[in-house]
Amino acid sequence: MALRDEDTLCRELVPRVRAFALRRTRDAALAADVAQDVTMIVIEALREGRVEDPSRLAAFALGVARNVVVAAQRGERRRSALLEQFAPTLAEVATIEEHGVDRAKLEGCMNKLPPRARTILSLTFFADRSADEIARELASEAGAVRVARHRALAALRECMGGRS
Amino acid sequence: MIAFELLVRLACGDLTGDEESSVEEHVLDCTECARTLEGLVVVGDAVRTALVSGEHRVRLIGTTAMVERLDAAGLLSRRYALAPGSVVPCGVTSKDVYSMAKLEADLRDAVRIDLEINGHRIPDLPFEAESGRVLLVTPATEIRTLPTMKLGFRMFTFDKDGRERLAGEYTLDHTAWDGTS
Repeated sequence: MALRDEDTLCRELVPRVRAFALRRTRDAALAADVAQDVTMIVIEALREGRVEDPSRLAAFALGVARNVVVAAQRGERRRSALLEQFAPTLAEVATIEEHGVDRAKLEGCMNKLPPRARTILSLTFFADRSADEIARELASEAGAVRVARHRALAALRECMGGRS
Repeated sequence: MIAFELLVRLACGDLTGDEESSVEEHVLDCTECARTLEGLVVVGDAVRTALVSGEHRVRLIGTTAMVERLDAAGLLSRRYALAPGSVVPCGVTSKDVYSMAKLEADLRDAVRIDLEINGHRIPDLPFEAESGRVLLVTPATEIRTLPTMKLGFRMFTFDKDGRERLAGEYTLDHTAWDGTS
């Protein structure tokens, strides 16, 4: 694989792994570290011909990412010489984008949602309740809760400006 | 791009086993999906952070699970129980985080509830039919801005045939925060 291809892979894979890791860890800094480590491991594996099916690189990256997240949560960090080689690219793509959410805007957007949607989002993110649990509590169906939840989040994203 | 709903389910921890693996693998193969997932996680965390802090003005309709969570975090400092026809005095201090008003009513046949607050009608409130109550959870940040006033509530229920019934009228007699206590 040419260095140029590796650079492209790095630009593509880092933000994807970061999203994966952020969802699992809820820690932006840790997710950025995981994204860099996983990408370097994948590039090393490609160089060494250890990826059996390069057409299913995402599946390989998923396996690596799971292990790296677990290790990172234990405080273990892999050091790779490749990090220096890809430093300029990583400086562009690995840094977490501005994650600050405009709280006043979020409040305004939440208040625009119907009360049922507000309750479902609160139960999901504040009370950590699953769709099934919310459905039981509101004498509804899990499917209806999921539809209401994804509509509420879509409305919230749109209200917030299409991104968070 | 995978279905938005699947990314929402992943962000909400609502996928398990093969489904979760399949969507995660797709995210690692789709930059747009990754951006959407990251945005959903960030918004979810922002909602959680705001609710935990109590520093917001989002009025919530509570449920048992929400009240349990508020209690566990020590955030629910005032509770008012309002039977139909009751007038209950209420207030707020600088130390309060959330206040809860419990409106009691017979909700056994209700499939939908509307609530009128000082003449402004809010349709389709979430409620637990068996509980016989609607829980209004209000952040103290919001309450501290209110003047001394009477807050009048009228609860309407609808049965499965769409028949509307006035289930109760309630009044919270609010004394404005003095700015010091």
